[in-house]
Amino acid sequence: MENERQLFHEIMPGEKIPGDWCNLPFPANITVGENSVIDSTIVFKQFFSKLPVGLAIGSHVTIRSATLATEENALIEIGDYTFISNASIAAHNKISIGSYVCIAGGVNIVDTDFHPLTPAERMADTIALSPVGNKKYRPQFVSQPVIIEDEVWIGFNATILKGVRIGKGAIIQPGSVVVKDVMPGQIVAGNPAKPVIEIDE
Amino acid sequence: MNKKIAQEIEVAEDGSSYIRYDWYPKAIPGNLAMDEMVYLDSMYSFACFHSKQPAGFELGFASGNYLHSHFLVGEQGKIIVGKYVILEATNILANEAVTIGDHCMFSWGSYITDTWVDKSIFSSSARKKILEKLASSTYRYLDLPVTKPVIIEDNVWVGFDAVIMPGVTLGRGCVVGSKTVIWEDVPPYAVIVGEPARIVKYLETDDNDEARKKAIELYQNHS
Repeated sequence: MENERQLFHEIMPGEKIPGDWCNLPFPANITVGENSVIDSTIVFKQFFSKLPVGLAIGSHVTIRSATLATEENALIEIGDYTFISNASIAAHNKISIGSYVCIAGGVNIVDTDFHPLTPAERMADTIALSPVGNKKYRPQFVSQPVIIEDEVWIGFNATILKGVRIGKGAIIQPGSVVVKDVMPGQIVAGNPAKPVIEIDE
Repeated sequence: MNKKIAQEIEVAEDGSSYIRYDWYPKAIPGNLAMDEMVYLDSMYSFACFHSKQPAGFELGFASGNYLHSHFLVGEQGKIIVGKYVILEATNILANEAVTIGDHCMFSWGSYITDTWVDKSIFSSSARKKILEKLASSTYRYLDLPVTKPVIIEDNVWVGFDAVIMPGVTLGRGCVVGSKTVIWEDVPPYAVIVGEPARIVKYLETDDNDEARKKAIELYQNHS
């Protein structure tokens, strides 16, 4: 008989999942509603937010094999009934995900360029980030919140870049690279993502 | 489990089989039909394998999952993989059927899916219902109602982060470039790259039975 291991666990701020292969505790600065589950605390391996609440999860949320990475002052919000599967969400500032959002595998959502653009500043950044550097004195770089409104679906391997607002009910087709706002209900595809018209087959 | 595979197997007291030293404590699914000398890596790849089909996953001779691939399979889903196939950190979603021929290669981050949103669930109420159903289910498996089987013929090569969409047939010997999203059938021996995808050339059709026989004689270790 097939042995069905329990795949999902309750989210318990500050505690460990009993028997999980990943020995990390959940961060203490997260809030969570009812019936929200996760597969493992490995999701928080790069969660460094020091805000009183660095991650706010609604009710009935499912998070599987994802990465929720945050810098010290970053916030990630996730609404009710949202499903996140095998996606990487990296926040330097704020990433807000609404309710009834579906994020498929391989998706990257980032609210920053992570590094400055000019060569001299990038050179300085490698030094500041190195084991002999000081992260506090990194050069400035661009970071703008990402807002994903309710009922948005994001397809496999799509990328959502900084400063983007995706309107309610929009569909981001697989492989898209979204660099500009998406209107509510719009369907976009491609790199850079552009609206597509669905043709009857 | 009588067949010799490329990994050591342990049989537990209750009769279920495990991969020796697997870090992920899940038994090998009973409906995984393996030929000899397959490589399964870890059962983590099967964490979301919920197929209730008699043979929910068929893995042909000497095929392997060499790095944590994910096989996301619904109760009605089925994956059929031929011989000598290389699956490297690839993701296969099957709510109906994904069929892969012999000698295919799949690179990391690629997705092969027989299910995704289509017109029938463009309405927000339909999509809301799907997520509500998911949140009340045990496995939390995204069970999309729209499926179109995917067929990948022999000797196909899929680059990293490529996406093969529902209903697509990849013709024999074709090559799909990295990050390319395939929405329509690809003819045999085509090289298709870019976004949107375009065919840049056709390859020689020299992968005949004779070439295969010769390669097996040359490279297959019988020990």
